[in-house]
Amino acid sequence: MAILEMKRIDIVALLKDGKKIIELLQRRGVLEISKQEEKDGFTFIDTSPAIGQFEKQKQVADKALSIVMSLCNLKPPLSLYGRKELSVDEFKQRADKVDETLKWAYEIILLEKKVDTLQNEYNQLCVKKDLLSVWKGLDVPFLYKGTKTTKAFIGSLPEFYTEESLRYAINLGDENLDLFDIKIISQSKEQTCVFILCHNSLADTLYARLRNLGFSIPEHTFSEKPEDRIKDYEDQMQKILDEKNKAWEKLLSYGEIVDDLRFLSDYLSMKIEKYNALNNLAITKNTLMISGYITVDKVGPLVGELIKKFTVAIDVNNVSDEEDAPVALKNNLFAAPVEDITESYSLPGKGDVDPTPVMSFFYYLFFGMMLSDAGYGLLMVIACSIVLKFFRPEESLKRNIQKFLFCGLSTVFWGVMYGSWFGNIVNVVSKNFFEYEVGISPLWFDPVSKPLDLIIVSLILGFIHIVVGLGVKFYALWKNGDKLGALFDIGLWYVVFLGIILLLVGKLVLSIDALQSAGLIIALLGALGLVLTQGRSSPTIFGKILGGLGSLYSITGYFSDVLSYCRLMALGLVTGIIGNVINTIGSIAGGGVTGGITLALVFLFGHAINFSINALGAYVHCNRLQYVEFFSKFYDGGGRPFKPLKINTKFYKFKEEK
Amino acid sequence: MEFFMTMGQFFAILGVALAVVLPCIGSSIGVGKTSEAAAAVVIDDPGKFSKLLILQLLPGTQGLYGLVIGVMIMLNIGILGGNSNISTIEGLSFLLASLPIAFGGWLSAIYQGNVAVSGVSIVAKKPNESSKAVISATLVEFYALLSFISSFLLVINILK
Repeated sequence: MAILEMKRIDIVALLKDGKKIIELLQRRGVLEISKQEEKDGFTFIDTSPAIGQFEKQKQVADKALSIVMSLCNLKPPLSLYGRKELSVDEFKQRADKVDETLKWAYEIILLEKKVDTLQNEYNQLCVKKDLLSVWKGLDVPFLYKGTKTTKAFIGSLPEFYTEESLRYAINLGDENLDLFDIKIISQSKEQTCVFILCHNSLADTLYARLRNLGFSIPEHTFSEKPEDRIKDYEDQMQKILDEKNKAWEKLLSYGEIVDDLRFLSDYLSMKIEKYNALNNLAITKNTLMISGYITVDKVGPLVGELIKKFTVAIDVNNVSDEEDAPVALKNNLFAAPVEDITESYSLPGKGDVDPTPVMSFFYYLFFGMMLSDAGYGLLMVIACSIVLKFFRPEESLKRNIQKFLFCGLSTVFWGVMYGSWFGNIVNVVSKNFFEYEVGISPLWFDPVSKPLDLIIVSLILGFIHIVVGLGVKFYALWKNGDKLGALFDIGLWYVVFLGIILLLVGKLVLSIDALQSAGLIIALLGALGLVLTQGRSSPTIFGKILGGLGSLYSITGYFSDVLSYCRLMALGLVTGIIGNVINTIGSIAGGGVTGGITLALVFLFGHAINFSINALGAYVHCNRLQYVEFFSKFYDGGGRPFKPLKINTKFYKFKEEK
Repeated sequence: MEFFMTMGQFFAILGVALAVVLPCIGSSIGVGKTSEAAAAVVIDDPGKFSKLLILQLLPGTQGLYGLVIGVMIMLNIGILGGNSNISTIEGLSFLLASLPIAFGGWLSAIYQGNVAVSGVSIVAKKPNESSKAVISATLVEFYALLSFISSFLLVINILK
């Protein structure tokens, strides 16, 4: 079982080497730096102002990056390829350009703001121009009042008028017809813009009539003709547009430095991390002290390297029991992929063993049993193998893919056992297109026709799972020295289980009376043992008996835990039956070309959905079986994850010089 | 009375309808509620979509279980191959056999949806703890599975 042993390490070094040492530690990524305790003679560096500044810069870099990405339609790099690797020289080259890039980042943000403002101005002018365009035909300024003997009225009426109908509406009588002139400038359903020139003698009457019709005088006060003003607006708009396009093009040209921006963002996050670490160091006038946790396998190389490169004094100690040391796991290729399942429950705390290795086998087994279709499993295996072979995913993604590779293999195994290949697609195709039904027969049994067998298999597997879980508890108690506890708490339950198994086998399978009674006696003896021992922590006799009797009650817990495994049967069944239903629906159009096309479409669509829903179901129920039924038997958790100072970047990683 | 004696197929089909419709109603309520809650989170942080998707889909499985029972009844009464010929008692038995998944699936999907909605806020605030939200939701699903298993065992044994 693989919880890596932690060592506590204290490093005393010269202050002048401080930065270099921290950088080295960050590159190696093996040491979790803990905060130094306050001691006389030591001071601390307060790096928070610097960190604040870096964080601000990083925001700028990230914002500039997202602007450039969205403008130039750049996609983030495919995560399957992982981060790009930079050699030390490349890193130095790029690091020299960082200040320049930061300047660009600021400029990008300014440019984006500028484009925004210009666009706003443009829109405003557009609105103004539209408002004015109804007056385009007016060939005098708005301020025109008329000649010596005439008066001009320029304005709009809130209805549609032609010259005729307006004359009629104004209704000044036939004798005055020649004394005024109407020119319609523009007309629409909502308003009519008019220019009316009339003899001074008629002006007042006409104005009153017009007002009755809802005449209103526009508020434009400029002295040019509307047409000139519109032209003026258009010129301004063109100018703004040109300016905007220029800014836009410049922004687009920044698409080329997207790599630099990414580097900048990474560079700053490294700096932030580093300065955070500096916060934890204690310094004197000439020395500094670094303390932290390191996994035992990394002690040798790190100490060797530090001694070779710097003047340092190093002290490595075992972690004491009171310390809150972090936890790191290390497992083989088969178990490591499910470490994150353990992690997302809780890392092992004090006295816990790492459940990952034992869990991994059951995890793959149960996942396969619930998805249980060889076709789906094969797809998973192929897809995962392709990714692992041709791409370079980051470690965590790689492990996930490995996990699903093993899950896929198990799914193929159970699919072959149940004879399910994309449901019953072989039967359906052979029957519809070749008139002769063949099928792949199950290696073990067909779950749809023998569901009871499947329930029994599921419950037996569940029982084994729980017994193994108790076994791990036994191991942990024994290892930690509580041998009596192991024998009483776990061993006696084993006796009870053994008795019950003999009883059941004797009754249901072999029908041997002797076996039954032997089983009964063994179970009762185990139960008696439990009653006698389980209350042992209680101080009073009464408490001891009550605790002992109470412990027997947990048999119901074991019973319901075992029953919980019938989900293995139900989910497995659902995958197969829905797969068959999809194939049946697909074969509705019969044979021939149309039938083939229908089947192909329904097959692709239907099985894609069936696969995703059932894979999801298998995944979550598999987790649940591990967390609720398995872990509860022996596992407490509560460990703190190991978080070494390292290069936590998003886009680039760094090749180590050897 | 004679008419009643020929109603086997009617009752069996009623069973199919109940087994499919009720869990599907429950699932759509559950998935719907969760998806609404998830949408509010995705607005602020589209990156959480995949984690939320798991929660959104969880109350959807009851509909599937219902469909499976529905199809099993159809297969057993032979209606997919044309006309079925079953007695009224058998038809009524199919109807009764459909009830566990009909009601168990229906209500458990709704309650699972409630748990999943609360789980959405776990994902929103502490995305690393999302597996705990998922596990809580599967606690409810178990009862849909129990209903499914009992309906299933009944359906396949009625005509034996």
